[in-house]
Amino acid sequence: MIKLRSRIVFLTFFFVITLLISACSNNSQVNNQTDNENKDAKTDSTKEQVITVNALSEPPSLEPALIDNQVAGDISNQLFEGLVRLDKEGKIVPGVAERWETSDDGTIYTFYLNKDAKWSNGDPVTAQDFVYSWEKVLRPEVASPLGSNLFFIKNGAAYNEGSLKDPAELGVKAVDEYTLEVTLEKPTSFFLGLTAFFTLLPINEEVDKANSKWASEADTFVSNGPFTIESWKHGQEIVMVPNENYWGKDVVKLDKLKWVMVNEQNTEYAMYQSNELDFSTNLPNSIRNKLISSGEAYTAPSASLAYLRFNHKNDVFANEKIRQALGLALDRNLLVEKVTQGGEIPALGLIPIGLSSGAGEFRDLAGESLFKDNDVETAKQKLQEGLDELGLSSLPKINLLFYTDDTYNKLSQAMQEMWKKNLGIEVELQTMERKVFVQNIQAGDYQLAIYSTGADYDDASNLMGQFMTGDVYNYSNISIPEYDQLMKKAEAELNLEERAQYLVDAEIVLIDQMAISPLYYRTKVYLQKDNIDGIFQYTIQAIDFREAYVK
Amino acid sequence: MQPVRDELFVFKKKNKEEDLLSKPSVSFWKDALGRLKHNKLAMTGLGIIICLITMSIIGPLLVPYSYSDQSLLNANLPPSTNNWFGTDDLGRDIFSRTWVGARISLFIGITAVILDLIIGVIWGAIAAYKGGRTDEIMMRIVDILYGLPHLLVTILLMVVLKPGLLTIIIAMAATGWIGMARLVRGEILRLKESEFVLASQVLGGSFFRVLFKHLIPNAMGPIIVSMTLSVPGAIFAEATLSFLGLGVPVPLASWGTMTSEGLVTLLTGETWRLFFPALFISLTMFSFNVLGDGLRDALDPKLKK
Amino acid sequence: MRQFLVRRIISVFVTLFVIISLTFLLMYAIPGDPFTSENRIPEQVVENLKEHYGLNDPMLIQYIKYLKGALLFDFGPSIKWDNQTVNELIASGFPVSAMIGLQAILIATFFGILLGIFAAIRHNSAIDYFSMIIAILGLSVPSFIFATVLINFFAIKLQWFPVATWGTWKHSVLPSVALAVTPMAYIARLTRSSILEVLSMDYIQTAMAKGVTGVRFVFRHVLRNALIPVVTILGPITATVLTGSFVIEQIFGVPGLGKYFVEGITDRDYPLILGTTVFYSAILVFFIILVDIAYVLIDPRIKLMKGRR
Repeated sequence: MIKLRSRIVFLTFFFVITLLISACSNNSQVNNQTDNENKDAKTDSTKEQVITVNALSEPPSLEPALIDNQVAGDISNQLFEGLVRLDKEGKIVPGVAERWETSDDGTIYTFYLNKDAKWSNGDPVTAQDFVYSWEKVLRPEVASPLGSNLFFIKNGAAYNEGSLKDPAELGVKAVDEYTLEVTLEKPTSFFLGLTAFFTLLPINEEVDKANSKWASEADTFVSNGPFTIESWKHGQEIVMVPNENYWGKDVVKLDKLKWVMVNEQNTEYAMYQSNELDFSTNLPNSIRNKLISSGEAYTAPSASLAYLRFNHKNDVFANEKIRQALGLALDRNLLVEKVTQGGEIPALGLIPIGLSSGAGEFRDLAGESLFKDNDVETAKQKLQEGLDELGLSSLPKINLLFYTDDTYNKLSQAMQEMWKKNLGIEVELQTMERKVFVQNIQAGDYQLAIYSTGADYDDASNLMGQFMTGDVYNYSNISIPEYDQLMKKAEAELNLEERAQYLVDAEIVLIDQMAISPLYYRTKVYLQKDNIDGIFQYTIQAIDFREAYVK
Repeated sequence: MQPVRDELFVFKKKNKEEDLLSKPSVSFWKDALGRLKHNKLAMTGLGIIICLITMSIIGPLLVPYSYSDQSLLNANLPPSTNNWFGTDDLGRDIFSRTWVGARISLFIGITAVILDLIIGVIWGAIAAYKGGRTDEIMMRIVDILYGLPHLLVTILLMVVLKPGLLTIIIAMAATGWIGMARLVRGEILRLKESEFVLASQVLGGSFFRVLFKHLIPNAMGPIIVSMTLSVPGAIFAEATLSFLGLGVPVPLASWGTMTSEGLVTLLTGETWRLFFPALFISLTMFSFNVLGDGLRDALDPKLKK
Repeated sequence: MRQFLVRRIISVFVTLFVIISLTFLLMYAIPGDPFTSENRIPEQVVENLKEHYGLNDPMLIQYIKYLKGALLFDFGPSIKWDNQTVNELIASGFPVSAMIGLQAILIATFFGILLGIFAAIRHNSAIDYFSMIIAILGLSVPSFIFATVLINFFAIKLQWFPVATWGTWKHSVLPSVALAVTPMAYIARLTRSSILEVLSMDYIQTAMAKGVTGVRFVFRHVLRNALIPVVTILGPITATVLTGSFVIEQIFGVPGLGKYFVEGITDRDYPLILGTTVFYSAILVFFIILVDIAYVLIDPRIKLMKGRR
């Protein structure tokens, strides 16, 4: 027995020792390797112009017509160039189009293309390429997820729906090889800026016709922007190098732009700390505020609003006073400071900061706040009045719905407590898987929900249509005649200043009644290494690395 | 070898034989209990479990804060004389939340053990002992349950049922016992070819008698290990299911959800939010394990010296 | 053995058929479709998309297409990742997951069994308790916390390994270790209990009393007889670990298969759900058969075909 034991102990001991030795030797090798690599990386960054950023995950597609998310849009924006682009301040500057003219009634745009604009395979970028690309976006069989961005073009929506079959009737024509004429349904103040948006980026007609899968691999990829793809390991990494055929290649300073794919906030932060990333936009929520206040992280507006959705079909929430009570009893400052902690800005209006009214920034025009935050006294009063109107002694139990998400999980609990403390209302919390949640909201199967909305293009009206009576996205069943009228006037108004004023008035009507209760505006929070500069970020448009460089 | 013919065994003594066989098992359990009582470590484990259960009942009453009372201005306070375990990110008292959470987590843990025992052991034992086609069908059902995408099942349950403890138990009952069933089957496949089982069969032991008197007791080692190890799995499964909206609605706490939410503190530094729930999960694990080991030793007559 | 295999292979097809049919039912029973979204997408665009992916066909047609896809192992293009087919996604993700998984299984089995042997032979000694405490920690610290600790210590502090992403062998070390911890703890506890049992068997006691000892003895008689529970759990664990862990792969930014199991479902990417389910189930049943074969190899008395008389 003893002999057996000692043999076994010896044996295992032997195993462990061998293992430790091999492990140690491995470790020292590894150590040296990392050291070397680190040194390389350090010298690299001073010598070479390389920036590594995080794409979060494999882009579902990089073909402009098929892109449906921000990440893919961000990546494709480095590879393609639209008719116009934005400069550092967000002003519209020439892209593929050298110059452009607008007809007096604002419905016809004529773009004159830069004859130096070339595809990465050397072909010239022609007006026909744009005609082909936009027709492709609108072609029903292509099923472009963001095709509605081209519905402003004459007959765009009808063609996409299939009721109009002839592509020649679309409002986009090649007058000659380098002249593109675009006819709109009606004057659209933001259309010019929209031509920089990723859905409207051009693709090479000949390449697309020869090989429909050209956009899935690095070696068949043809683009016309500042960068081209050098290598693409799916799910892992995309490496971009400057496009030798790009007309503006002189402003491109980077030698390499690397996109890794890591979709985990803590890991991304760890990578940034260990210099594996130069630029980071997806920071852990819990430390965003800390990093902002210490000056390490920067913020930028993001045109997105989180708000409370009331179901106006519900008897209780059909009552204006009850909605006001719930909305006023929240301390948004505290929620943002202590709960969401992601650099959000308390929202006391509908339209997020950074969004245009068509005549200047909307919030500058409408003022920052339309009501008082944390107005508990008024809230109590409104609740009592509302209960009297409804003939109730107390509110029935309210159910607050939200989808599975860390931030909403905390936020809902904090709001529940505020309503309990300030108004004595019991609110029950319920979380659901995201798509189940969306389906419930769309079916009107809820009382109260946390929701969010973001702008697709740079105009306040984009967020406001969904609250008009009978709108397909009006899942709250809001019906305010005064609001509808103002919105219709705005839609018909050609004078941009007056149109903006209608929008401002409409927002006041909506928020005064607390048809929805705004919670906070989201912001982009990002980290950027000190030796990096020239990255341009915009409220809506995709990020731009064209002029980025390492100091 | 001569075929064993039934008539060879038509003895009147048969009943007496059975009595003889069953007699030691009565004193066997008594013996086992006696041995268990003398195992200090196992008794410590039992003591800790009893303490934890007691605290889960009275713990929240010891402090003036309820598990859901928030104080956003006092968020993330380290342990102090006011808040013995500190406060969490919404300024709630962690001491109070820990013991309210203990109710859910201990309940879930113990339920997992019971499900393992009732469904898992019996399923695996019957499959293995019956063998042949029964085994084939029963184990393929197990494979099917295991092969289905769990998230799909979870989402379906979320849609069909109301969130709550019962829903979690249903979700766990769907697949939680499968590991145990496989384990028991493997053991019994081996054991059923042993001499003592053959002997018992030949002596006319009925199907269930052989199963429960001979086969399952001899597979007790792996059963106990698997049972004790299913506890933390169940506690964390509850956290995942609750987060997905299947379990206990927030602001109710459980050790599992407290641990998951505590992950961020590895970055932000308020590690007490992670430490206490993790400590009590480990302590529960420890108690179940030493108790399980003690039970195993006690049930294994051959270890008696 | 041949008869056993033939029967099992037939039953594999039945099992897979039931799994994929039930998955089909579940997939369409839950609310939401690939295009359900909070974004304001015009109805006609959604309609075009549904038409494009054949989601407007009658259920029966979709089911037949689906079965055909499963039979030919050709699941068509993914709806979410529309420039890749499901086959391509699996083909690029599986080698990565399998590499991490294989390393994890090797680590878990080797150290698990080692710890188990130690603990059993030194029953109720310091080593036994040490192994128990490691097992307790391994099981009561969730893998996402363990992974984060590994990153903080080995990648950020010591800088021995990269924090995340994929490329060299070094990238695979931390994820493999993080993945190995739970199975290792499990294997250690099971091995210990089984070895204790075998050590107390009469024939082992007799053998030891007669002075039969040595490494061969331990491996041939003690370990061999103790292996059945370990082999049992290794089957399904290997299948699961080889096909990737969502949490671990996400934390380490590894381009494996794990995320498709979860994101396929949250995106309602029907072809991807089908592909991953068929793939995983096939691997699962393969390992389950291996387990049964291993039983017979370990203990030739075990007869799998035989029903009870």
